[in-house]
Amino acid sequence: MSDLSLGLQLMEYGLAGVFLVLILFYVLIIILMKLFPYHPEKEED
Amino acid sequence: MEQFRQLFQGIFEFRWEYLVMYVIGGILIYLAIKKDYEPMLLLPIGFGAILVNLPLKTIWQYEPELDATVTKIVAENPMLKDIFVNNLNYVFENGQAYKVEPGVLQILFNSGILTELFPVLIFVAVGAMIDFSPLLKTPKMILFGAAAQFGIFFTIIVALLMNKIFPSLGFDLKTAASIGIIGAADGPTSIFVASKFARHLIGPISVAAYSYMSLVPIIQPPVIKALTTRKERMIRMEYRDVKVSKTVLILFPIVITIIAGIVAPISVSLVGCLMFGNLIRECGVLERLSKAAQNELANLVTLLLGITIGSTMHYKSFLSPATLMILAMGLVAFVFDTAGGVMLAKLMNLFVKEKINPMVGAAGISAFPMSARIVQKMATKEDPQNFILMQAVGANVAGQLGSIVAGGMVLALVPWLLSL
Repeated sequence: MSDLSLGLQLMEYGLAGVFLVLILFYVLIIILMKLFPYHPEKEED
Repeated sequence: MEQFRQLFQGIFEFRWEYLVMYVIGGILIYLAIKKDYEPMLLLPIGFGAILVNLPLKTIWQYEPELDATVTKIVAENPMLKDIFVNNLNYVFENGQAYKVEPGVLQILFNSGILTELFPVLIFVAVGAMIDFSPLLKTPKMILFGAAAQFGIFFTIIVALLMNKIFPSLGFDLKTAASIGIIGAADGPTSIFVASKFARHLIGPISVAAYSYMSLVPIIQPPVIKALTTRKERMIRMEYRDVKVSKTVLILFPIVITIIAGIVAPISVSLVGCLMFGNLIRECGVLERLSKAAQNELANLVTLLLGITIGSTMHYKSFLSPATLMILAMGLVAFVFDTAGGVMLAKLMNLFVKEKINPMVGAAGISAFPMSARIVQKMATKEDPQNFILMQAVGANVAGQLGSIVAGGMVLALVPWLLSL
């Protein structure tokens, strides 16, 4: 396989991978924010 | 005559190429001092470039000394030659073995760059400086941190195309990946990937990465203006000041490290050290370590990293068409990073009710906090009452995560694709 076609595959998988991982982080942030909401009285302790 | 020549060796060994490198080093120092372009890196890099281009290169290695014992050993056992060359600092010429002692900058290079120690220590420092709460408050901005890594992969393709047109450049997939990673807009990530895939190009890649990071205020605005209308640039975004609990701020770096480590194990050095620095900052009980990471550690490693990178800029490796190509492609990477973020925002606006100002997409580049400030400045110029700074900072912080994940992807995918 030529380097150019490998490069195109790298772009395909690389961008998909970056988006997938960051979407996973997005879901994680939503879950964390829901599980551990901000409580003013607790934060002051 | 021979003794005279030995006494004034520096003058007899002088080459015109050294002068060119002094000018290049001088330009980097000028940009650092007069223009305030990333002075912490460009000044040491510039001075390192001058040091390594002095006659005999003694800052890099001492003069070779003939070793008769090793010459005899290798003459009797030729298979030992590679061990002496690769592990014991020997060179062979006309069957004679010469011991070459490494100079101070080569010692720093071998122990700090080849081992990836300097980049990961910088990541600990960077992690201690980052506040992830703007991203935690506006998590949708994380998508722009992904989109703004488009320039990395686009530039890899450009580098491979250039190699098809000019095969003498020698840009194979690994080298192209090292050039593309300039688009991560993150010095340590660029150095980390280049040290694995294209060690001989660390010098120009680092210079390109740090120079373009400092030129973000000049690069991004024209690209943003070309891709957006005035109406789009005037889009206001509502900001809801959501509070983030201490528990989330502490758990975030731990969970991110675990997930990133499972998904892309090779990225653990980068992600883990960044998140370690962030955990030190957020835990609230390690104030001294956090301050030390943000100040002493960051300053010391940056100082050593800069001068070591500069020492890789010997004229033999730096003055080549490949270097010019790398500098040009670094610009391509930054332009297409900006374009990637803006275009994703415009695409999302086709489907969402609450419109996104496309300039926020451009802030997904990892140049923190400059990119966010540029976006706010442009928004204020169009509409003095438009405040999108917090959303832009969220995207900017997301870009930090995105660039490390992209670096991890490149490190994992390139060897895998080459093995197919």
